[in-house]
Amino acid sequence: MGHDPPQAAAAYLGGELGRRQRERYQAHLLTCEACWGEVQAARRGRALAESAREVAPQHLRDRVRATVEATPAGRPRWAVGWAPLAAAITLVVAVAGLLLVDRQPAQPAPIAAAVASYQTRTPAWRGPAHPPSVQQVGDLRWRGSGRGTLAGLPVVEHTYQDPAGHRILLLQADRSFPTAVGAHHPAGSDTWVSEIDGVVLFCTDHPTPSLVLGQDRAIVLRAASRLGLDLRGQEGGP
Amino acid sequence: VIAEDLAEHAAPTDVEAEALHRVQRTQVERALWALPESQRLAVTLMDLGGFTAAEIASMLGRPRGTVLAWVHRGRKALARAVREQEADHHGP
Repeated sequence: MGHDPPQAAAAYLGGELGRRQRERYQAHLLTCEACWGEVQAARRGRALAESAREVAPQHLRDRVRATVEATPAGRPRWAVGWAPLAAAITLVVAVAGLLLVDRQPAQPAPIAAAVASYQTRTPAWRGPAHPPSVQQVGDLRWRGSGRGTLAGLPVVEHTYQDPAGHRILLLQADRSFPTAVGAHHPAGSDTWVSEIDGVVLFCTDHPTPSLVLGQDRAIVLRAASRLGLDLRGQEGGP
Repeated sequence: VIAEDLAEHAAPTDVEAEALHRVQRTQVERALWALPESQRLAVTLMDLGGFTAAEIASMLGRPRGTVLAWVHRGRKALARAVREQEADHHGP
């Protein structure tokens, strides 16, 4: 095997070496300046990166896990063509961005995963679903449906878009969605509205547990109304 | 009295440490965003996110060895970038 200081240092610091290999490598480190330098530089980089870890509290790590769980699984994502590759990169870039800048309160994992799915245009689909009964909602036209899970919550997802590019996501489940932290939730009402990272969410249990996501509050509420969802207690509702 | 002395002396030290920490964190964040995308993802997910190489490999659908190589190159580049920022800050 050739002498490859970066690869050897990566394997050593990544805990990939067995006990005997590790001991042999540690002995080698004492005599090889190139490998010693690789390990020291990488350790310094790791310490620097970890020094910023306080901006990534546990709830964000949970959020990353929830978001990753919401991506289509099965085949290696980078082995199935450019589109899934781009979607995977976009998703993780967005999540990595959240790790660095997010200061918002922790959201329940299905809500965080729904928002990430909307923002990154990465559907949580794992299988086909029947088209929705309502395929035209004002200017919004139905574009596709799929069945998937959001952090363990099974959902059917329908996407609508209008000619101007406004997009909404309708998620329907067999059980209630958790309520977003900080949601406007009128007393005596089963509905709530929230805005998370620039995404407006409308949720109701009637007639079926549904979550509508979009970027424009008026469009989201109008779409929810035209989809026959219960808007009582929310502005624009009966 | 001892407690008051401690409080009096502890406060400036804490503020100074916090200020230094903020400067370093800004340097690190700037350096992270300057990394090539693959390295930034790998370092962010492993060192900030606390994920293992195997988990990251699964997320990205890439071999674990590739992820380790990205992490290694990213960490070295991060150390180099922060060192250069410090050198620029202190001047010749």
